[in-house]
Amino acid sequence: MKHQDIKKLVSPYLDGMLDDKQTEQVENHLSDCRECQREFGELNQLEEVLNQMTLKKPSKDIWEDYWSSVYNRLERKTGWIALSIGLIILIGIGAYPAIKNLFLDPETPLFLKIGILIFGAGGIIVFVSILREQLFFRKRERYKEVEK
Amino acid sequence: MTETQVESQLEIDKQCIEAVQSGDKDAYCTIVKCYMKKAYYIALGFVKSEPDALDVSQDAFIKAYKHIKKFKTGNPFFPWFYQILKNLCLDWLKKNRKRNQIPLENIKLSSGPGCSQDIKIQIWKGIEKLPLAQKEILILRYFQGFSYVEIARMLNKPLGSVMSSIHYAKRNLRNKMEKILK
Repeated sequence: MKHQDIKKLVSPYLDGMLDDKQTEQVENHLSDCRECQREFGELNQLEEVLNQMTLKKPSKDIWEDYWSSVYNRLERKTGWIALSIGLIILIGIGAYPAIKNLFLDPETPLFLKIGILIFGAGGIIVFVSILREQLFFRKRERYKEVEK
Repeated sequence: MTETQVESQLEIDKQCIEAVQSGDKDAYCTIVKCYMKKAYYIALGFVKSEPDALDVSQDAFIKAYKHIKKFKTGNPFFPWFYQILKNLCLDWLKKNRKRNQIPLENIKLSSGPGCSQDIKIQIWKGIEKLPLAQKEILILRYFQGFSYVEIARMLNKPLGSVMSSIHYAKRNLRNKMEKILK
């Protein structure tokens, strides 16, 4: 195995992730190669510090309430979806005859009819935009620009 | 994890997920309780705040539940779930770029012999400056204790590629930390 290939194995060697044959190859190479010895020393020092680092443990209550919180949120989400669909249907049914009457009534001022039309068009544009984002945009995004 | 433990876990996952797929919501409780700690700590590694990590990790379980019918039983659950969790963490980071620049001292690291808390904070800052893929792989390896094989499964990469990625991530971090560690 070449020097560069062995050098890449220094890190898994430190982690004890190599098989017997690879371990032997790395150990033999390390006994002769100063560059790899330096690499070993530096990575070993870093490894020692990394192995001492752990993320802070949260309070125990978090684990006790974790599932109930997931369950409640699941239920609530289903509830919100049902509520939203029902509300859209109710508003649609209630608003349609009223709007129809307003438009058919010759006494309704023109600015009110235009206002209702603009409002309706705005609502449809927002709805289509959100739908398009959910269906297409989010699927294509690969987070490449996220640095951290 | 030994091979027997892995197989036993795979069997538990399979049984629970089949039950969930048939509409048994309570079976999902076993899955959540089994993986909640791993999910929380992975999210914490990305988003760096306890309440946000809790929120994002719970969102991931909710999203996984919604898409559970797409999951092929017989495969390990966690690598599949990890992709959902990771995407939600990245979404969070995108939406909270400014908030993400909170002082890293907010993350407390356990004290151990041999090096000061200050060095550990500097190392954590160094990890933060790494490219996302390198940061991710170091968090999985050193803060979550996943083996190379488990990481390969989670990231859907060959083992050799995981070995060299960890090596380059450590090399890169070592270069950033050169002055501090000397």
